[in-house]
Amino acid sequence: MKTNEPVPEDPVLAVSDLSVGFEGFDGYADVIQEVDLSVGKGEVVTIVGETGCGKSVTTKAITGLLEEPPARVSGTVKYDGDDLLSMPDEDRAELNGDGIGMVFQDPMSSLNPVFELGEQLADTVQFGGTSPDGPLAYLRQRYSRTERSAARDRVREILTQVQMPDPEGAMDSYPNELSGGMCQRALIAQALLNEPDLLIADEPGTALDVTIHDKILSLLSDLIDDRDMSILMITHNLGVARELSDRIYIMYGGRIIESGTTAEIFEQPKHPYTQGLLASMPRLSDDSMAGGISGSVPEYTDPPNGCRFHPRCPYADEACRSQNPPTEAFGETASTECVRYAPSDTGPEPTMAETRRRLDAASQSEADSA
Amino acid sequence: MSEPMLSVENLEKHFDTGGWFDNTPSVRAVDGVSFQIDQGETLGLIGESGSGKSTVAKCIIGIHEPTGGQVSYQGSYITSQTATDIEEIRSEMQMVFQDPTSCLNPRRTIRRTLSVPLEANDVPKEEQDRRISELLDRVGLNDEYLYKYPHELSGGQKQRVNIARAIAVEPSLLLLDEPTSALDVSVQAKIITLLEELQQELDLTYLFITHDLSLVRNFADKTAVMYLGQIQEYGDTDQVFETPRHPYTRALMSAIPVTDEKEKKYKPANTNVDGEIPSPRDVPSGCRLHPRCPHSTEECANREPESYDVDAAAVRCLAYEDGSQGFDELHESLTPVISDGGE
Repeated sequence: MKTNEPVPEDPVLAVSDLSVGFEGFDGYADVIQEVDLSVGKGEVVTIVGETGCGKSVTTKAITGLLEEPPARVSGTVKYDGDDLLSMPDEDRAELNGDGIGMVFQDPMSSLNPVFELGEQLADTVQFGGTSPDGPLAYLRQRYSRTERSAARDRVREILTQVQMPDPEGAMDSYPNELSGGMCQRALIAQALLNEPDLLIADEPGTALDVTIHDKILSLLSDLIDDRDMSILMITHNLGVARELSDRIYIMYGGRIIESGTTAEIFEQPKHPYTQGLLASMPRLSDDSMAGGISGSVPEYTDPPNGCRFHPRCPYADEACRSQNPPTEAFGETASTECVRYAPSDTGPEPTMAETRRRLDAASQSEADSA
Repeated sequence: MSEPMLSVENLEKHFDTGGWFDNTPSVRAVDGVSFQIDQGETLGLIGESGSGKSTVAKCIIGIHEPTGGQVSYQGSYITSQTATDIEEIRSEMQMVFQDPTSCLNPRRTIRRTLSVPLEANDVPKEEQDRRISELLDRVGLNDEYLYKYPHELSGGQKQRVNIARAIAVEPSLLLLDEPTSALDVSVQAKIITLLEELQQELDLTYLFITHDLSLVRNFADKTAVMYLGQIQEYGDTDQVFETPRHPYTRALMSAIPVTDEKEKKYKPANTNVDGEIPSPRDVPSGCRLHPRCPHSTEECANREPESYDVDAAAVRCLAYEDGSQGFDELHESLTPVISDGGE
């Protein structure tokens, strides 16, 4: 979707027309379609969507972690003006880690279990972003006492910054000796070691308990303030997105279907999917939640015609099935990809209350027919 | 008053680790838990990972044998029954687990999976097909799914099959151990709606275990908050959410990321707990929360609190003992949660 947004003056990351597909036994899976997104300097941008919406594939395409083939990536991904997709692999390897840091989803399985934490992190300091000059150069650097202890000092400093309890002890521990929260802190520390300009965080802390999750998020937001770093965050939790981000992209079926500032998304959600997600969140107040959205994410080998959300949408009609939905802009910063907002469309415009009513009615009729 | 459906008294489960000469302290996973669930009611059991919530459920259904305390079902003690009686009681209780995928045998079709509990209950072969169709219908699936394998189903559909299997033997009590935590919100809402309908239609009683507080708010009649093997706060759900009293409950609630300003008013301010849950091998002295609690006093470290009744809730915190001192800050911070958020 061509999103409507004020393209930040020289964005750190600008993705346009990104498409990713995979060759598979079941045929070609057309996963990511025409994704446009940008992250400005010092901005926190979040991609929200359910499992299987293509969020992680998007970040993997950005960082070059997809193997081609079977993946087929097209479009442009510009980091600081340079196109990452057409860049030689060596240049790109240097950028990863130094320019772009990544925090992966599962803290327990993203650290190497056979090395002490301090060793892994010190390696990142010494060798992150450098191309190897041969084994001898590596060994000389690796066992240079001054360089190694400088690297370890740096690791200690960064672990203190991410508020790791007992940093010294943690450096001498293996990942299995650390709790989930500590591993997550270590991963964030690792991503920050070489001071990247852009941090990509794929569901940071989702695997953790609420109290720890909350702490990791506030740690991230402190770090953003301190370093003027940009963050591209992935989450399926709208509450998390609201607490941290400046702008939000909502993703469904490999397409960005709505974008806007955090306030716009939460106060005036436009797309029926966004509205459905918001209504399905369980709440702390007495308000009940809606009955959920029927169905599940489409099969990418055989995606539905027209709007990819139509089989689950409470507003779907012939127009949704027959044509690709147009992108409609709202104000300066918001846009959505839904045919209901097209000037020529005669159907009702989705509102929060109406969407809720329709979702509940759908649940009810499912129950009655059962 | 009639007997409660399920009553748990002082339940205790300690796991010993070593042999004769091993002095490692045992893991006190559940350490004196009591609650009751009436017919048709839902009790929400909340806690962080490692607090012992799943162990409670496993003790009730008999996967673990409790090391102390009593579980009684409709007035008769489960823990001291003969084997045949237990078998009868067991068919009254079923459990639904967290991960819908690993609970289904990948080599069995859905039909085969659902026929197992029926066979165990001596339902004649001729009747089984009809019953299975009925079950699928009940959980919002249809006969198309009969000959599918688990890998062909989405997470939500698999959880529906798990629920169908649980209700196949017509139980009256379901133990739901984080049934929706592996699912997306839109699917979670569907499963919760399904559970609510089933509860009405089949007059089921639920023990609903979760780490998601807001889910309990929508779903449970009563709420129990567990920490390190003990229930810290127990009361009507409305009561617990409108006036959370225990510092731990308050900390859990304040950690939830919410989606609008109105919700935010329900989050108690300034109530962070420090650090992480300690190992149940090495339970802190006195109040188990005191090393992490922002309100803890010297007394908290020395004396273990009992459960004190405050309004309709029971709170295990010294601040609520008669004549307690030094908790002014906690008491003062209690009021705003309702006065701001209440309508």
